[in-house]
Amino acid sequence: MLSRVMRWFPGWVRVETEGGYPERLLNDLTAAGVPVWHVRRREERTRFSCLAGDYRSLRPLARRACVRMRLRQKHGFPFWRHRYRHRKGLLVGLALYGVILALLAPRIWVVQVVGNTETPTGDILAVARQRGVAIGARMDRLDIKGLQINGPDDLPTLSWITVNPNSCVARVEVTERIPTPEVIDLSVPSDIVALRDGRILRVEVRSGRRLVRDGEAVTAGTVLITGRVETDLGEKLYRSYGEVWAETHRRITVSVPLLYTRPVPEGTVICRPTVSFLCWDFPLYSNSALQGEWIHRQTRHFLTARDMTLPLGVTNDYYLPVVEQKSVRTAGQARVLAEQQLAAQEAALFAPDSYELLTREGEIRDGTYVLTATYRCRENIAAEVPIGQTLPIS
Amino acid sequence: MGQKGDKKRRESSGGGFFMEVEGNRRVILSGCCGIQAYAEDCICLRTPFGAVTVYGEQLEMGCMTVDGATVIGRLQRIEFS
Repeated sequence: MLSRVMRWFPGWVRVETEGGYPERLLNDLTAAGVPVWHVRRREERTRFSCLAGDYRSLRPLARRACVRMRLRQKHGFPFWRHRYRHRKGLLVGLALYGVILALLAPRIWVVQVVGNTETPTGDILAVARQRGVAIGARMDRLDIKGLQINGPDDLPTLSWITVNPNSCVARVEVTERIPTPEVIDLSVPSDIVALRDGRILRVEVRSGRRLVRDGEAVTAGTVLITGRVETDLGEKLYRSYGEVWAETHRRITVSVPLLYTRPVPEGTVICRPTVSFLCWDFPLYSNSALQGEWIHRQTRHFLTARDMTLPLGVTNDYYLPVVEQKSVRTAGQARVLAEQQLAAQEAALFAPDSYELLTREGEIRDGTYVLTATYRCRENIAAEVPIGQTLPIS
Repeated sequence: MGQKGDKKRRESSGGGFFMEVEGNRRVILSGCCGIQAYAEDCICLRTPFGAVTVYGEQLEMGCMTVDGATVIGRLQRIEFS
């Protein structure tokens, strides 16, 4: 294989001789230091191969051996180049390929972030960008040490950050910090008071003195656990700490107006395409300002390879002209919308399985659908306040 | 001393001529001096101590240089004369 490649570059020819004394020709060739191979005799004809550069020296030797010589085949780079000498485009394409390869190979095409669960990927990319990790940046100019040292300072939720360059992919690897447990400052004396009205179910005192019994009804602001503890040496002040679980009643009201305004599409959609390549964007539209109200929608069409998005593609921004139009909801539509909003508030306010729906009433009042729901809840109503202060009732 | 030793070794091994046979498919001859006769079924090569003739079918000289030659094909017999 190696010898074939070595022959291809200088080029080689297949020669056929006829008549005369081919043995003498071959002996003269070897004596002259011309290497030949694949020598084959068939009846009166002898074929052999030699380097293209040696062909000229064959003529006088063939004449001396009284053989007629003919060129049968040509192989190798000089003949290939000669065949394509008029096709300049091939040469230009080859040169362009080399230039593009030299320009793009040392640059970052894809940035991947791995190892984060809580920290947003956008924040990590912003910190990495300050150290040269960005699409289109040169791979050899990455400040990896700087990122490792200063990255966790810039993003306190990370304990480690680094970047591993791999051909054209910069892989940002992070390890998130495990939060340290909160240290309770016991030097400030405090009371635990009730956050809202309720009936006590259970009290867990970890520090301080309990003031209420199970089953007792309390109002908002009642001291449940006090930091004033009587000792043999008199009253001592401690920080109160604990949980007080109580049965409470909560009410949620949701209002949905029947008359409302909504944007209605009117006119033709305007598309503004932008071609993106590495870190460069090429807008294919005039930069004229848009009039009136619009709904904006964006679609991205980028090349992908092995589940990676390559930095070459088109981003289409669609602008749909709209006008504000007054509309009226039916009572049924308003009720469905109100129930959706109520469910969202329930999920935000209550822990799962910690509440029970008591009543739910809906009515139309002054052009608005009002949905009111009451709940029986089991929740921790403990709130810590400094001794001597009362809970601000919100 | 070294030159004398080389000469002695060369004489004892046939004047620098070596022959390597790979099955009945290939013969590598090193130190041959040229071709005496060349036909489709017979190739006769000159060596320092005489001629070596390789008989067979579809014979071909795989490579031929000033140092030696390679004969490829279906070899049937080799004669020394």
